[in-house]
Amino acid sequence: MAALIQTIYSGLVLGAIYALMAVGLTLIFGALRVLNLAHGALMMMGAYVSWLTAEWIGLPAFLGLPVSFITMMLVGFAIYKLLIGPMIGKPNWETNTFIATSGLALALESFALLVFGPRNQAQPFAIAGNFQFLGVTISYQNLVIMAVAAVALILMERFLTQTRSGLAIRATAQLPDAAQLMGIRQDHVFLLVLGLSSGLAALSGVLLSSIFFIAPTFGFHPMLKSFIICIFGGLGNIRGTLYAAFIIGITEALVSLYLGVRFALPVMFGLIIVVLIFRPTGLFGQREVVRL
Amino acid sequence: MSEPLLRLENVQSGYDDHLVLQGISFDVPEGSVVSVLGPNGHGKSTLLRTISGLLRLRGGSIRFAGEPIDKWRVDQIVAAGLVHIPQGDLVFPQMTVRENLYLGAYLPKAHVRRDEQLERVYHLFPRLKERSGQLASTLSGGERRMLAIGRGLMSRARLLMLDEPSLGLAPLITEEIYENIRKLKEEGYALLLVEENPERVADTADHIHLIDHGSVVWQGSAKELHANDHILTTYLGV
Repeated sequence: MAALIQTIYSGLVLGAIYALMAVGLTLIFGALRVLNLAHGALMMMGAYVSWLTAEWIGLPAFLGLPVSFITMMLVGFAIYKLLIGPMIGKPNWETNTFIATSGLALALESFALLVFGPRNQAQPFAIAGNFQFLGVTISYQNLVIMAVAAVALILMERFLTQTRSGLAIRATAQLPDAAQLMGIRQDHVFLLVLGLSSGLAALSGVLLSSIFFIAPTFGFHPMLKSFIICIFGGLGNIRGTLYAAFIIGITEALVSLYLGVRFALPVMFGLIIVVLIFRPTGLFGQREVVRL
Repeated sequence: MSEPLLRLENVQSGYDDHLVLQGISFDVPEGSVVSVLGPNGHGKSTLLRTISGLLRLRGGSIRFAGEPIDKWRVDQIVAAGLVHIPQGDLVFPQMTVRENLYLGAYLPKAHVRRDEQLERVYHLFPRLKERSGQLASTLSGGERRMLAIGRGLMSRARLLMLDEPSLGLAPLITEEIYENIRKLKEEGYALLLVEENPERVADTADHIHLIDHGSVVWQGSAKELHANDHILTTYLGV
């Protein structure tokens, strides 16, 4: 019984990190209709930026998180300006951005391998120690992870529903042409979305590496899981993505406990196939709205 | 005499390598209602999309309030007061009625007078006020149409372009929508009204242009259109 509670609790921690990552991914898909295959690499870069902040620059470790968020947000802006922006709207842009972002992922991973080497690094943004609660071992770092994820997701929700820019992002995701007719500049929305999404990827990278480690390719598997989560929750649907993140996080923890870690991904893919057969738009997905 | 509010000269436009509009010219004077009629698929929506900047002009010129706008971005055209209310129920489905209306006043100039404008729209469409907290996807067809028009009014429009406001609505609802359109005319808005059915615009339009295969084939007043039965039979089959 204690093992089960412990597992569900680890699933919640994983779910919180996946939620950050998958929301970033679904935001880009929702607004730009671009599947960003560099999301995992951005997550990895975010983890290294936090590591650099403490290990190379020598700033206090807790600054790693905000520094990483801001740096990667700027990187996201640059990716829109230099890579994705020039392709959008041109013939075959869906395929082109798909290829360009996977190319970017390879380039970033090779860059990290070159600069930081293949050795695993420990994330400095971490608090040691734990305590017992109802027979479950709870580490301080896990509490930090859940707090950061909760604050980030609540702020994100606030931003999307309460601010003028947030409204513009949602409008663009729901009906791109009608949004333009409101006077919303699509290029500004896309730029902002790339920045926010990369920032969220950075947060999830720092948090995930704080319970595992940092390595040049460590973003790949979490990105695969994020894709599963996004499809599960209905691509472009933020609320659905949140629920799906926790469902997948807990499923992963349970499968790892009872069947072994190596079955986690196969079971998840099996699950997603079943969901897609019966609910092609995802568990919480809506029918595709008619575009102008 | 000063220039009309909107002037189209030999407007050509289309999609990819297919030219839809073959050179369309007409004016919309300040405060008047001009209607564009034509069967489906003959370039009416393409015309509005070109004027509002969603589609690039291939030839000719578009002038609004004395300035050439054909190189402007969509947001600049909206900011100038030329507002396109698109066809169908293009209200943001997963937003409330109020959020939809707020988005109509997205641009800074309209934003400062948002609440004042909101009251005007609620006065014109009391049903929207009752439904203000409801998601747009839960509205009826007629309510959605009202919301789309109200959202257009939230910007500081001088000319409203309406794309088939009666499309798919029951006759009674259509009549209600048209009553509101006539109210807008009385308030001094210039209107460019696209319709398929000439009966709809007969009491409202000052001037009618008939479009067929991307060209204007006839123009005149509603009365003149009725006097020329053969035109209706030839082009619209009514």
